[in-house]
Amino acid sequence: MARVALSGQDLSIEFVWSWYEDQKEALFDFRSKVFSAISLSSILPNEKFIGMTTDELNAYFEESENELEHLVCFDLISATESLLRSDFYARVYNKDKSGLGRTFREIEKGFGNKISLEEHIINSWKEIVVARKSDFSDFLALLRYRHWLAHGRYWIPKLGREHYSPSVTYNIVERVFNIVDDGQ
Amino acid sequence: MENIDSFEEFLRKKKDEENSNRTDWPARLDKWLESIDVFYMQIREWLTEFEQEGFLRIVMDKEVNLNEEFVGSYKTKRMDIYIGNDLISIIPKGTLIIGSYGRLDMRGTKGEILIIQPEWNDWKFAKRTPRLETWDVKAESFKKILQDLV
Repeated sequence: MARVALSGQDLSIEFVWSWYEDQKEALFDFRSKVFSAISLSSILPNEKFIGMTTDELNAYFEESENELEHLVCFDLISATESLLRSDFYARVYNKDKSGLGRTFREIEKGFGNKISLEEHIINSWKEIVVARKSDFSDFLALLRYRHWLAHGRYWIPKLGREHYSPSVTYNIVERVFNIVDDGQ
Repeated sequence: MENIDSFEEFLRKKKDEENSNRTDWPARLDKWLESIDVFYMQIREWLTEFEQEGFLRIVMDKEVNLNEEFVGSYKTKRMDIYIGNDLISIIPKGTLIIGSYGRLDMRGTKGEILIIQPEWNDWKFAKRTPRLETWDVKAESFKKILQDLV
């Protein structure tokens, strides 16, 4: 079976969070600059905002912030998938002797390059870290949100909670990172 | 104590900013309302002959209540133009508008177009396509838009 060539371009969740904070601050500064064009004629507004009322501007920037939050959540979840899959292949290729390593090698033998994140990798972890399996259940629920984002959001998702904010998402993926970092 | 001082400093800075960029909001409101009146008179003038011949009817009996930051609450009027069985309304949206001293929305059954005034009493049609396109509101362009909206 051909080995998966790992890119090494995985993102850390710390980097994603730091980037999120930068973008949020930049967005707020931009919003403030656009709003000041209402009362200060010395500020030339970006053409696309010309003709907008304050309510329309508020709605525009609220939507921008929501979009930023969706993309940040998507990045956080993707970084976690990358961690879990990279860990999977590391255990397989390095012939890891742990119980999880053995399970992963059997799965890899049986399914080759059709390894399911949910069914194979996460379910294997849940059997090993029984005391912390709810952390993986939370992550599985979060994957429904990732799936919705990745496929264009055209349906009303059943997420089990009304809203995944970046901080809720970070909290969930950080627990998965901690479990993987702790090793088995 | 240190926090109180820095807060006071912050307030002073904001006050200085306000003083150096002061907008006389009551005067701005007066000018905005006056500009609407002048614009409505201009429209009436463009359409007088058609109104006299009974092709259309202009009604201005509906008030528009607006409430804007800094400016406060005020009332103005909308202009309704009846052409046959169709209605085109010109509705003031406010004076706190990006890149403009005010905006009116012109609505008909087939759509809507913005009217803004980047300079006082210099009205422009504005449309996003998606880039912003603007052109002068003159007698002919106004009549063309009336036709497009119904």
